Amino acid sequence: MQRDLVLRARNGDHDAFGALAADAFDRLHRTARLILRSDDRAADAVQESLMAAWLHIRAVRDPDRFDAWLYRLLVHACYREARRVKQREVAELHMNAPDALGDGDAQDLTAMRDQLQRGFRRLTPEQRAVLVVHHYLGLPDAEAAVILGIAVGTFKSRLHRASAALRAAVEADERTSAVVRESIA
Amino acid sequence: MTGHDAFDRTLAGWLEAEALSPAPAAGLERVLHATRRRRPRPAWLAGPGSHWVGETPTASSSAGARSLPRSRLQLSAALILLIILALVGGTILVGARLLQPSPLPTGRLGHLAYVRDGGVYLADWDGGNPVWIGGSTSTGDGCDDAFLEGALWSPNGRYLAYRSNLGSGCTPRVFIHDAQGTAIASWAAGVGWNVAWAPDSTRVATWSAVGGIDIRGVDGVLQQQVNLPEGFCLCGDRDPFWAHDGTAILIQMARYDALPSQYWRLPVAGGSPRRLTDSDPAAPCCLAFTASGGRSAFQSDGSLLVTPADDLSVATLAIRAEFGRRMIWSPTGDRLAVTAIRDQVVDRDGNLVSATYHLQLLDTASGQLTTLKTGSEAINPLAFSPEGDRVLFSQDDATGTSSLWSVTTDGSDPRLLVAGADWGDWQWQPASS
Repeated sequence: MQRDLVLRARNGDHDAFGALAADAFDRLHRTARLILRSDDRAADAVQESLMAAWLHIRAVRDPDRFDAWLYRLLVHACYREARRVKQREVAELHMNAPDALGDGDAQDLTAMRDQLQRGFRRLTPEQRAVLVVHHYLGLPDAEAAVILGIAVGTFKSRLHRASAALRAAVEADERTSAVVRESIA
Repeated sequence: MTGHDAFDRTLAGWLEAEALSPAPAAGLERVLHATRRRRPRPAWLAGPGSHWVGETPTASSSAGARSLPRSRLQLSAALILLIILALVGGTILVGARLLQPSPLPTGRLGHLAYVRDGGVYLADWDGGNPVWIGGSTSTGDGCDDAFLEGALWSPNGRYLAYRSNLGSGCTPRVFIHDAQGTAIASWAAGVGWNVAWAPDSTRVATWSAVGGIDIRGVDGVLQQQVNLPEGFCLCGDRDPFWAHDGTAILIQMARYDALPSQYWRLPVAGGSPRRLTDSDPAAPCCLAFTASGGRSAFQSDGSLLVTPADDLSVATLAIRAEFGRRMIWSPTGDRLAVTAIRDQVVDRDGNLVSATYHLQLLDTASGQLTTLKTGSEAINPLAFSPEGDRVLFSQDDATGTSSLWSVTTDGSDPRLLVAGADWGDWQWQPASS
């Protein structure tokens, strides 16, 4: 079905492109929001990537790879958006479903979520993109590397460093919290 | 938090939870509205594409790095072909009618109608004394902008037509004005770009709001509906246009299961559709007829082809080079205004980094190309003057802002007519008026 839509869209059928865009829109927006940490900027990046997708739709030579191609456009739009807007960071907190975080009591989960939130925000957009493509989209290394426009080896090392940076940030946050708790006690 | 696996599981769960909130509903609508009013880039501008997905990045990188030399190679090949074609141009012509120019249409240069910031203006032929007649009066949210890609003026110069969403909540409408700029008709239409004027200037054809093609008089009254054959798709924004004798609508369409699209002729009075192009596997584009209707030009698979209007499979002139989509025939039907696009450099994402654009006149008898204007930003030929001595064209500047220019057919006297205008068309006033 998607293949047919891509073929039709590639031939200039805007309705077919509209169906593809509608199908991908939520996924793209969620991915962009994770990378950019902002709803508004994510919306801009998604809009830019879908505009680019329509303008360049005739470059899609393998319709079965449309999703990967679209994600690549999105990631690059996110990078551009991140570089373009040096705006003041505004924390956008979302209420999460507690069971989405795994086992543990609600207080620990909330604390962990906050730590990840803060730690994730300290990463660069490129580091966030690596973690999102790997942990959220769950793509194989080779495909993730292509989407990010880097070699597989680079992807692996960048993933390792991003994970390490996030762990370090979370652990530093834990230590700070412990000091605060001790001082209060 | 201990252990890599536990950390990764926690991170994946957190990312999943973070992504839960829904995307803004209006966002998709906004994107589709914006894309509906732009066409995809043609294949030659679309870039390296998706073949890299799944390949090793090293391979894709080197493919990207090869873009420039490959384009130069193609350019060299095209130049060699052009030289050969120029040398043997006289011998590749077939059909005695091509050697006999059509009678010179009578008329004189009337007003310039143009679109600027979504508004439609009437001015002197050189852009002087502009008067707003319709469309948006400001650069608002884009919903009330006038927009088009085809001719504004009817062939007899008595009416002009354009598309606008003015006052209709982003619903496309077609507006007809008389030559003085007074609106005389308006109706809701389907998506599309052009308003196709019939050769006799009494009717226009557009996509209907419910599918198919509406034919309406200049008073806006629906005269006829032409439906596409069962199993064929509309192919997006490929607009209908008229056969030169006014008896049929020409449209680019394809079966859902048999791409690419081809040109078809749909008789207005009913009857079987006829395919105009042969079994060429590449989708043709940009079909343009001479004023007399005797000849046509179109592009297919990287070549510009000139053919008799009634048989697109017999090419009387073929030039293999990259040209812009819009091609304008001279009033006498012996020259084509085209834009040659050279020195293209694309990045590995397929984005065009740079190119040079050459507004050229193609002498279809000799195959000789004469350059009228060159620039590093896009150039689009729009119209010939009735006398055939000037060409109206648009040219972008480095910021992407388009302006209207004219130049004589020997390349002299380039004039900036309207800065910041997106599109324009010259009126042919009948000689008797």
